[in-house]
Amino acid sequence: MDEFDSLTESVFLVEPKRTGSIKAKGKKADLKGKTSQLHLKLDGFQQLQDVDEPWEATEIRHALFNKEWELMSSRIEDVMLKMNAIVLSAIYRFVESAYTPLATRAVMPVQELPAGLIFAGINVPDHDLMFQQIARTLTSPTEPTMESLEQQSKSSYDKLVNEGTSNHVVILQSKDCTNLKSALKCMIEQFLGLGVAGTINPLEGGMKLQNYDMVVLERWYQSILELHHEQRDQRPALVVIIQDFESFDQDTLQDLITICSNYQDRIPFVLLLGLATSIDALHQGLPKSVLSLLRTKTFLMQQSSECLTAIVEDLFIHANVGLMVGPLPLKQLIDQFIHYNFSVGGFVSNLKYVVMHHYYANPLSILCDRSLTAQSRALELLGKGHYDHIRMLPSFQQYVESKVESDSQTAEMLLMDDEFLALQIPDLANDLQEYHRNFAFVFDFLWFLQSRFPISVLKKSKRALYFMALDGSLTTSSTLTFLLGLIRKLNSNDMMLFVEDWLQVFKQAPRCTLLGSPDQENAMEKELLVIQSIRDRMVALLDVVSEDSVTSSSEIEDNDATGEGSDRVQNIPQRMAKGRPQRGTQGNSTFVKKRKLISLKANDTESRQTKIAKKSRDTARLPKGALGAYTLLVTEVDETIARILRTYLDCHTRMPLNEIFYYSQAFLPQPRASIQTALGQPELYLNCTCCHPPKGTERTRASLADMVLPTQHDTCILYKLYVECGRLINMYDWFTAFGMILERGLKKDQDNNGDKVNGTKSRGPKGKPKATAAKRASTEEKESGLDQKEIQARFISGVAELQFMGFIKPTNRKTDHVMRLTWGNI
Amino acid sequence: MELTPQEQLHMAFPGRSRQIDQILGFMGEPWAPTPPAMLINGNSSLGKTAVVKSILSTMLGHTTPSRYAFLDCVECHTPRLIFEHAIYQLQNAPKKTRLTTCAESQQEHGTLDGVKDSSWTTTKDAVQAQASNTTRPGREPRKRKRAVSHEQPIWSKCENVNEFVEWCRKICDSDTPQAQETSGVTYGGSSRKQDTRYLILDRAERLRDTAPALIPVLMRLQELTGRNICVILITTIVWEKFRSKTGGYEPIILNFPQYSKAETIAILKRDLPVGGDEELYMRFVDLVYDVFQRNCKDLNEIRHLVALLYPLYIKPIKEGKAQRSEALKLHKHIQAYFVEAMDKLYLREISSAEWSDRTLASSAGSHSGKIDSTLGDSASRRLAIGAPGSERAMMTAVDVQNTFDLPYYTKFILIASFLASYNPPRLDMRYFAKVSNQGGKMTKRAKQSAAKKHGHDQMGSKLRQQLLGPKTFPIERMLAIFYSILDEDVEENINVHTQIASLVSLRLLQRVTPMDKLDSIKCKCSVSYDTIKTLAKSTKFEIDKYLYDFV
Repeated sequence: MDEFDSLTESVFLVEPKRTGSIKAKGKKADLKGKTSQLHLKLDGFQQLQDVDEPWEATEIRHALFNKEWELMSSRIEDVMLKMNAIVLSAIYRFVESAYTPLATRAVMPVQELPAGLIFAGINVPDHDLMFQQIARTLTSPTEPTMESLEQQSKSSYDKLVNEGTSNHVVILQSKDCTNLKSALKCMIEQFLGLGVAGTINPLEGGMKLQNYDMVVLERWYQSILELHHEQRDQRPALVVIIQDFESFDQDTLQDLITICSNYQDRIPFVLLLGLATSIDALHQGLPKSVLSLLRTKTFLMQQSSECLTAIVEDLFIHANVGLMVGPLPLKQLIDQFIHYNFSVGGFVSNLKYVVMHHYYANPLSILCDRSLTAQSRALELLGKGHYDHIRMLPSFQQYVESKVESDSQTAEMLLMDDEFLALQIPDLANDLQEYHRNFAFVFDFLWFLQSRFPISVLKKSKRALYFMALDGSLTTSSTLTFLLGLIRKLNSNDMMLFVEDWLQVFKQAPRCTLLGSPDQENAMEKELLVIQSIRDRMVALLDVVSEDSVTSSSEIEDNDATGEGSDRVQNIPQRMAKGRPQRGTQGNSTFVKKRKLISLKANDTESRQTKIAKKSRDTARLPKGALGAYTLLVTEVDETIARILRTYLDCHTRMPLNEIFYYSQAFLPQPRASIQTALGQPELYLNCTCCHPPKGTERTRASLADMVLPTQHDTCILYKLYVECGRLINMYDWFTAFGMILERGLKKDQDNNGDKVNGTKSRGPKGKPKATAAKRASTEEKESGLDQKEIQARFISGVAELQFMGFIKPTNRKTDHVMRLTWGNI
Repeated sequence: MELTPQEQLHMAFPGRSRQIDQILGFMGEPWAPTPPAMLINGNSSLGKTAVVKSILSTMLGHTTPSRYAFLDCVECHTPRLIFEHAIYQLQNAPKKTRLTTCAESQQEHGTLDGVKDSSWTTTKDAVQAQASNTTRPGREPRKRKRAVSHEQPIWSKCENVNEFVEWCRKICDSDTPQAQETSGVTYGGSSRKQDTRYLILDRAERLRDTAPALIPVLMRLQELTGRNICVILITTIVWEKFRSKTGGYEPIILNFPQYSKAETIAILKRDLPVGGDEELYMRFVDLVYDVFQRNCKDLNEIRHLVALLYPLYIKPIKEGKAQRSEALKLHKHIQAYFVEAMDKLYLREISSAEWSDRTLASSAGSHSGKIDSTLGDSASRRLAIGAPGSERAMMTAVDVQNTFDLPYYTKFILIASFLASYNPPRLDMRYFAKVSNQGGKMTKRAKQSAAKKHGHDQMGSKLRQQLLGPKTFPIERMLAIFYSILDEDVEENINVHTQIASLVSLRLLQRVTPMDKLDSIKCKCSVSYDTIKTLAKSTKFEIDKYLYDFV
């Protein structure tokens, strides 16, 4: 091969030789093209071979993935918008009123530039979305409310821009503004590019203005004023958002602010500075002369950890989505968030990966669909492999085992009869959904319980509670026992109020199952009845004791009749949302009022009593006989609540088929670990036959890892030698050792070749081209030894690979040495 | 009684009569030859810009096209911008053709370098008038565009000094005798052909960076053009700093001295709110001056303080708690605010808007007033930090100061880099080695002995890192410390490195090696000890145990 014999070139491009007829190729390509087209359409979703999946099932999985992710991402977006709605409208008002004189504001000798400081949190990459949201809000002609925000997220951006009277917003990012010229250019071009109808572009039409000259902007703004000065007196503000204050070149920013302030009389600028750290950054970054030009106002965006809690609550606790995340991945997701980046964006993209992976790799994910019914196409597509997979699920095995005792016939059918199983699946899935609904509700109830008591130290966040529930440790946790203890300690008056609230909460329970059959009885209905009876008995008991029992009890019952009405019922969720103890503060419940009335009257009659006596009055008033009954009732309350919590907040793993709906694989990538394994134990990856320990020696896998086998890949050999080296590695020693090992392998090979004719040296899996292998074999035969040059070439390529992977690096200290960079095995 | 322009100017600028006379003397009649260059220097907010501006607009504001060009060197950051703006201004009518009267100059006078124009309404009118001159609203955009290009004043291109000199000649020569007669009437018919053109460069110190070669040229622009042009540089620094190595023409230097107390108060008097009690106000101004003059020589700052504090001063009178004559009572009342203003307002830790919101809100909230209400206010707001939504949005800057939060490991990365920056590397083994023969961390005695060994005592050594500032450290060392101070085992992953990068972008760490060098990154920790201490506290990490020779 003379054409490759060159002293100067090391790499050659060799094009494949064109052989064979083009027609034959075309046919193959056609077939391939079809599948690859299908691949493209399905974003790379593949047929799963282990269950012999039909294409249609793949398509279903793909469609489900898209549907599920769209649902999730839109919900996340909604949550984020809602979280920041208040701040957004505050910013809007700030910009609106920036140039209208306020009575409360002192007249300043120097007109200051209005500047909003937006504290957007530590994670800068997340800010893009947030500032776009702010920009969108500011360009809209009306103040944002919750509803309009939601609409906004759906309507397109440019629709809102063309309103001439609204503000004009540009976003400056540090990457575009390396110096003053580029910053001004960026700002002016963005303003001109907003596409406000009817404005002139001073850069066009014969004017030789430079695109970073503020005169351009001034003229442009005049043309805007021209358009609108008849309509109204108020002038639209030009809002400049400086997104990442910390990364900006501070000198550039100083000048930019000074210039904006100079032009303030002609162009009403409003600055919005995005700060990631604290206000110190502002004071460190800008000198006093510039600071004194600004009239700052602070806005705090919602902290990202609260956003995360809201997302978790919305997506998982109030589970309206199909796929849930199991405890392990959720822990990883949240840990990464809390420990490393505070990035909601990162959380969302990880979540997307979870969803994608579930639908991509799990054949049973065709069943992971909220709207799964007995008529679903997915059920028809189930094959033998699917059923096997289902029967292998631990939760299903548990389920069958529980059936064995009660209903052995069904258990057998479940195990043997595929069609019977297919019929059962929708029901089981339905049960799981029912479980979710109840879980969400009882979880809210638990939250309500926790927020009812003023315990600041032992309070757990929703996220933590949910995590415990997923883990299965919630029902046995100390939190629950502690809360139950608190309930028991309530005095009779508070207990009555508590039971009343409890009842109201449970009246909110989801009444009808959406998909389930009507005859299926709702568990919550039953619970409601239990609570009602407790309440009635308690009312009766306490009313016997209280003085004007007749009137109050009758009125309560009246109340009760109308209690089902909507007004009273609606109050409760509000109160729950506020999460504060509510000892009749709002006077929602008429019962509370009445209680107060009673105590007022009591006060009148017993005005001489001391305060302490008053406090103990409630219990003291109970006659002895009633006390016993009351204690019994309290115990019943306690037990009921404990039962409700323990039943409905039980771990999801007890539900059959939960594995289909819960993603529970770990997914944090560990590239270094896998690279180290690949280099240290390549046989695990290559599955080759050549790399076995010598025959006759019983060796464990661990010792195999230590051994250097000549049949292994060059880089692996080098790596194993590398592991034994110190901080600096002598290249020549390394090279000699490498050569020795190859030599040793060769000898062994030749021995073997003596037995076998034409030793097919198994270098196949190592990716060496066959031609060279053959060539090498021929040279070996000739020279009965390895060519030094070849060893050197292989050595250099291996070293280069190690260097590329970051194991070594050349050092200037000793020219013939390299520095070792990794230590220890992960 | 009609005042001459000179007298008007004297009235408008108390304490600046001498300077005004000097400048007017140099200017002479509009056509009189002037010195080629002047340099006006003095500290900020001594009225340099305002004086020059109003002199020019008073004396030359009527002539069209303008006889002077006023340029801000921050805005005109390239030579080309300077040339083009100058030519544009000299070819067109002066921006504001109004006489600077007392009332208006009151607004204009003391503005800080930079905020030159102020009165909102007048400029608004001017802008609109100008706008309506230039463009007319029309239906079809195309048509308008054509119309615009006809009507808008021409913007001339000028790229280098040669062209600029040429342009200057052209502009000066454009004065025809007819134009002279219409424009120069006020000063009696002219015998010379050309009026002097003035080129004023505000914040000229910026020229040294943006266009250093331009300074000598400007100094002898008169000579180069052979026309009557005067260049005025306004700056806060002395001429010596402008001199180039090659030498050049020296301008006439005019210094604006600091205001005396009487002058300051005379200026402050002009800020008297409409309908205010002059005697009371003057008493207050006097008080503010006495309190703040030691810290603050800046006239604008004092005006700023007066504007914000005066409403508070007269509040007790408005509420009927004090009489105008009860000076002592009022003084006592305002005293507390002075203290707060000294460290918050002066440093702009809170802005004027927040200050007035705060003080007014507190007065609305409780009538007991006084400082405890403002303190209580901020305290209650601080309590509300935890509550989401509106309370957060309402928090003031003061409360925000320490609320920025970092992810858990990021905190440790920052702490580790702080340790790496301030501890000598030779002691790393002692502090951070997990298995140590001494059984853990260094004791205080060991610390002392280590300090003694290196030739300085515990407290007052010269070479303490704390006093020298942070030292650079290789990232690997910081990571080693990071893994050592963390109690739990952390898997090494990409997140740690992304966090280091994001700390750099947040300016909490400072990268010393250039960005294109990916290997062996070196950093510095640019966070203060107090911040680190609060961070360490929030992670329950005892940082003092690990810091060597730190107070």
